[in-house]
Amino acid sequence: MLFLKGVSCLYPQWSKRNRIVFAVLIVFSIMVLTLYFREGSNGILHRVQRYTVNMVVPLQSGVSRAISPFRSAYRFVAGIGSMNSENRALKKENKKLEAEVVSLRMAEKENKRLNKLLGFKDKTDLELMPAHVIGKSSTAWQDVIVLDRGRDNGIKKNMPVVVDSGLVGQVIDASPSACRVQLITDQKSGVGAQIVSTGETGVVQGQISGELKLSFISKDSKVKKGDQVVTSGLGGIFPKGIYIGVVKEVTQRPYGLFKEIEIESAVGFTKLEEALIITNPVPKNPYGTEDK
Amino acid sequence: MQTTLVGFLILLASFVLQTTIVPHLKVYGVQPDLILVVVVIYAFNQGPVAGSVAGFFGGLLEDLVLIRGVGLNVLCKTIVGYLGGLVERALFADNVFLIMIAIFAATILNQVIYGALIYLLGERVMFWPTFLGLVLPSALYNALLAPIVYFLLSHIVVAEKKAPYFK
Repeated sequence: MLFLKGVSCLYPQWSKRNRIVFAVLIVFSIMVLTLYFREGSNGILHRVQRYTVNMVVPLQSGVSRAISPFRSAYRFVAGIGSMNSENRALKKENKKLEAEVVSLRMAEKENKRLNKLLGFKDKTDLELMPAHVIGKSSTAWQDVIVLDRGRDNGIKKNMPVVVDSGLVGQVIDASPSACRVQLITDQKSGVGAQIVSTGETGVVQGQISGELKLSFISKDSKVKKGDQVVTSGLGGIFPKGIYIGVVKEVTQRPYGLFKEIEIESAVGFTKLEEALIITNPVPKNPYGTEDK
Repeated sequence: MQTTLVGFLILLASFVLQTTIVPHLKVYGVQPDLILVVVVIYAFNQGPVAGSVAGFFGGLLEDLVLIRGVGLNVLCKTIVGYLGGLVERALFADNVFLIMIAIFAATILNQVIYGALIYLLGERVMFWPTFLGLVLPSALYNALLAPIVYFLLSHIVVAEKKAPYFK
């Protein structure tokens, strides 16, 4: 009955004017889509996209920083949930103190994170630029984050992004003040990788589950659980030797040519707040000759 | 004019929340699509034209900032916004459960169109794992979010005579 009522009510809405507006919007959408994929990276829509990112970045950045204390407060409160105080007066006082502790803990946590990044930065020859995460993708089909560094800071497409605990992804587009980074957990991501213990190379690909799969490792390989996996340097985007993760599980199908290897990254992709962009990913002078 | 402006501001606010706060609400890798929920609920109230226009601009905002291809979300959300507007509004007047079901269905439709589009554009799509692992949970998440958004929108949007069903 409800269904019939719904169907009968569809027709008044299906007026000629409505159909025309809808058709115009659909045609316009398809035109926009076609134009975007046919034009080059300097085409009008790509430029509008970069300018929009540029305009939205301060807003996102502001909101992101504004909610940071609330996030920390939530984590803090969740952490002390097990404490049971009976005295209401003390609870009230506690809340005041909590607010102070939250801000101190926030500063301490940020300090620790930045120190870790700094430590990593000191240990490597790579040129690293720190950046804050100011946005994340909203669709199930893509895993993308936005960082607050862009072309004005020398950021270019394909630059790798890391944190102290491993590889994060690569820059896929840069506007003057921000860049978008495809995470290695994205389904379309593929990173040349190497198993440290055996020296074999393959490709680490993103999975729906947010985990990583290492492909093209021969069925005869002696790879085992716990083996470390780093970037192979093949492909010219990621420098060799960046830590990706450890082998979590190795399986072999009866007639498969390759092993199925699951990799566990130590990077907390959903909780990223800062990252480092590698600004000199490929050796400037790979053949050892003088630059001209 | 005032309703249009309010609608645009709601979209803008939902976009800012979507790109800043919502990613922190991820549960097992799944997060809600606030813009979609807003577009569909707005469409229920304002009809198919307003719904498709809201979908168009909501999708455009999303595409311009986060997604690689401008037009993908525009197309999906325009269609979903239009269809949302076609549904009889009186059905939802007092029934939050029906709103949740409608949002659940709208999310699935939106994601399936999106998946089909990126497949047509030549990208590798693992349909079933994505559908079962991410699309269905995100549809459920959106459905759970729907009553809150509906309640908030009903207090923000000035319901006109033609759309008196926000209560």
